[in-house]
Amino acid sequence: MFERVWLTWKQHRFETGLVVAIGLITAVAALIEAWRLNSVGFPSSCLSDGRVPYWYDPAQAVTACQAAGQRFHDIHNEFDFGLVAEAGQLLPFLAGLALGAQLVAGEIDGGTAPFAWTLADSRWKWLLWKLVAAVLLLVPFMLIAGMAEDVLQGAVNPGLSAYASFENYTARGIFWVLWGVAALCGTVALGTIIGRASPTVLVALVICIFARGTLEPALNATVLRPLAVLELPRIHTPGELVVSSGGLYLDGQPFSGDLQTWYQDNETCTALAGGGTECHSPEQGPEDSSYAIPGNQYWPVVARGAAAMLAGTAVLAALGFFLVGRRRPY
Amino acid sequence: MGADVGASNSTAALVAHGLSKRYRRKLALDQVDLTVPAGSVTALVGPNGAGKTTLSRVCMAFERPNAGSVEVDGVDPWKHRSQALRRVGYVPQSPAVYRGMSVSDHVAMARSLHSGFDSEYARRRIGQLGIPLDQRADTLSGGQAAQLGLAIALGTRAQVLLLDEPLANLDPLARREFIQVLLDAVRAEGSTALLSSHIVTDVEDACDRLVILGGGKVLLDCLLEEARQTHRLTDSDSPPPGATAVGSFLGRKGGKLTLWRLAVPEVGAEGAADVAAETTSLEDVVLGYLAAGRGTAGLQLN
Amino acid sequence: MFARIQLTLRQHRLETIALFVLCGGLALAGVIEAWRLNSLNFPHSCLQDGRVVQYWYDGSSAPTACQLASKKFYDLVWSPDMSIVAMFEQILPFIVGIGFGAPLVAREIETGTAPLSWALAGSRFSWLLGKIVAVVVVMVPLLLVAGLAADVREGALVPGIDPHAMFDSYAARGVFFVFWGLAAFLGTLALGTIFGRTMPAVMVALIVCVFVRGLWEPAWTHTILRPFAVEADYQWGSADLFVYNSDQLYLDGKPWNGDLNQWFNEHQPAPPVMATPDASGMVPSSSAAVSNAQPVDFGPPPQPITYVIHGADYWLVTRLECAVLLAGSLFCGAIALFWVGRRKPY
Repeated sequence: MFERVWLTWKQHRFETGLVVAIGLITAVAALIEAWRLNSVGFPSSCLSDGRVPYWYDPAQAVTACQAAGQRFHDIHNEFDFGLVAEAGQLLPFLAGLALGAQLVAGEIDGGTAPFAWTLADSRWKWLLWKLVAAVLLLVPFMLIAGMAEDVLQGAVNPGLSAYASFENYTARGIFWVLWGVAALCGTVALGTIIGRASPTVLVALVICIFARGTLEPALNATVLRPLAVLELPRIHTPGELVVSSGGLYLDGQPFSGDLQTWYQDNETCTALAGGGTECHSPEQGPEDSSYAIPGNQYWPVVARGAAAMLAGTAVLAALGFFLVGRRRPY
Repeated sequence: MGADVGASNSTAALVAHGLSKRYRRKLALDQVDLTVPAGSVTALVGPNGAGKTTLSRVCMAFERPNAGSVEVDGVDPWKHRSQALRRVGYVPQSPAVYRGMSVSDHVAMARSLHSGFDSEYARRRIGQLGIPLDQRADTLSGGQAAQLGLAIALGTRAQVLLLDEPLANLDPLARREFIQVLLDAVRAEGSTALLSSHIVTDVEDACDRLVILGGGKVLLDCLLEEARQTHRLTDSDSPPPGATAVGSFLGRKGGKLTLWRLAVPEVGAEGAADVAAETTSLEDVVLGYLAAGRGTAGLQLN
Repeated sequence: MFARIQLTLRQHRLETIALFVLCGGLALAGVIEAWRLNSLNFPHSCLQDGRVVQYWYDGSSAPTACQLASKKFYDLVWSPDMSIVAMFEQILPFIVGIGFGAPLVAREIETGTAPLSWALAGSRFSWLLGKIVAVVVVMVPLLLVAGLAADVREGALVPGIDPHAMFDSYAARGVFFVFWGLAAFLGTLALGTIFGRTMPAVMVALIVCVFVRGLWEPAWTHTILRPFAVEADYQWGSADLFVYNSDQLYLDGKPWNGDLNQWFNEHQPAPPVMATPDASGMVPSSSAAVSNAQPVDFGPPPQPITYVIHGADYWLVTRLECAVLLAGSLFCGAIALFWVGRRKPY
């Protein structure tokens, strides 16, 4: 088994090196940025809901909290920081695409598929071993990078554990592994159809962007909805994930009337000494509520998201197996 | 894995019945009936586009036939692909190699892919040819790459070897070495080889049967000796008695030559000995059928 | 020449089809999104400085007609489809450029057709130049169409300002599509010619493009654009391009080098005298409560001078940046033309 895996890595050594580089460089960069933020030593007493507030008021003196906050945000707003923090939006895909495009499309493109497919006991077994080798490479390096991004997230919000906050949650942690493996399986299937490696990478990149942009809304609307609780207006828990609007509420009760009419009906008017009336709106009218998942539900949310993504990945892998069995090797 | 599908015809390594394959408007194989006896070394000859590679690909389950059937060592490759491929060693027309991987890596890869692959046998074959095992496969010469492909095919210890124009890019010495290695292995293992090639001298040295394809059809399928004895070459348009024209081509000295297929008399009949005494060169036989395969008039198929 | 173009595009038909689909698709998507925004008919009287101000209902008062219209507008702006279109506008030129650039030479080398092509062509230089021209002739108009559609969408996002008089996403729309595409194409071509393999060229090009695109605007505002910036009262969200703030602080038009904290401490307004509650216990919120406060007006505090490039100079900036992109593209193209003459065809 080890020989099979080793030969696959050796055969695709450029892509293997790329995955290792992505994982290690991201991990090191994220840890460095986290260290830089932690070195500011932002006082816990100045935190607001576990976060470093952003003050900007040139008409006021700068307090000690604000000065520390300014140093913190100076680092946070740097280009390299942004690049590292947003690495999870692209790099796991790149790792999966690079490997996935070569596993089948690369063999067909390179003319070695007849060699491999005639020798192999079955094409399914051949592909299975290739996928095993790819996953054994992807998982640890994406996990290292994802965990380092979690550490960075923890440094961005010093008073909030990264595992109790949904900020950027699908671009860090275990999601690096999930995105990488999903991209791998999807690109294998796509590559089996196209039969050429570099167009496969580019088409897969386009598809990945769609997937990245639609995953969170899709998860919020489906598997995560049951975990959400109604949060009445002005009630927020730190690190929560808002999945949908809950509608308007007034004094703890749902409000379904017309806002304009309600404000007109509830304004108080007093007569002024010099004639005329002065009207004031009520101090608090109906407000938006939301369905949100509190931060302490981080792991159940991640588990559901992971299950949904793994299910999708399994479908893509099955498609790849189906297609490879039917395809010509050239 | 399912029950092993045994040979339905123990004397035939490869059997095709009414095999047809179409690529859009081109009919690559047209109702091909072919039987390759077990233990034979059969040459598959034909002009470019005759269907030789298509036939190999259908046998390897790379292409699905539009009609008819094929069995490789008694197994239909489309219905039982894994079992069929275990019985076949394949050398493609242009064996591709993996960049940056050594000869030894290729053998290791074959071993990891194919259960029962005899890597020692393959290494021995490669070593006998003086190809360094640690050399990168993409730096091998054409002849060495072809020998590597053959060694790996032989390492499968398959009963049937399909070689799709493996000699096309080789110099004469490399071709001779290739054929010698092939024949040694076939004789030692008692396996069957179907070798497609244009080079008649190689066919003559290596093979005992001849199949000529033209226009997707089988034009001739017989023993080499029978091919020589049952054809005549003349420089006139007058047919020998009872003969049918096969095809005409340009002779070495520029004149038109016509190949005729004789009506072979039964053994003992008048003239049978005379017929057997005269033979035509295999090259002329092949040239005549190649010319026929290009569509020249005169050939009537049985 | 037409035959040469046709043959090159046929040789790379997968990439050609992708080019048409992606550019056409994005152009169509951009125009549709612009139409959807314009269909809301956001009242021009509600615009502030030409923009739709985002409104969040907080329950303190009834939303006005402008605020309701603003909510509908931003519900559309933040919708997933709009975000996806915006994302593609950032990356399309790079995908197209890399998609064409990588296989143009590298694939010929990989598939073994380079010896034939180079032997027939005689001059590798003219062979490659012909291929480049063939691709550019098709790529430029298609990217231009997609870029103009992005301009139209941007115009719908900011209904009161001409998209060619503001700097919102300026480097991700309009003619920039063409120049980014050219840069990615010729840069990847150079990489493919050097590597002789398409996949490494694609991967390296993708990573380089991410860095270049990310650094582009900060690099420009820190360097080349500085001499063109003028003093202005910059408001966040204006059509001007913020370039930099001076390091020097100024007070009343003169350089000021004091301690800012000390200045604020010296110039804090006196705290207001609190009014006493009335018999009902309520504290009136009328201005009578601060009638005893001392009015103060210290004027604006020490501030840096802001340097901007006005929206009216959109074309100046665009021409400059596109000229640099073009120069970089030509440089990469020159590398490719030079290297193709020197490298082995395998």
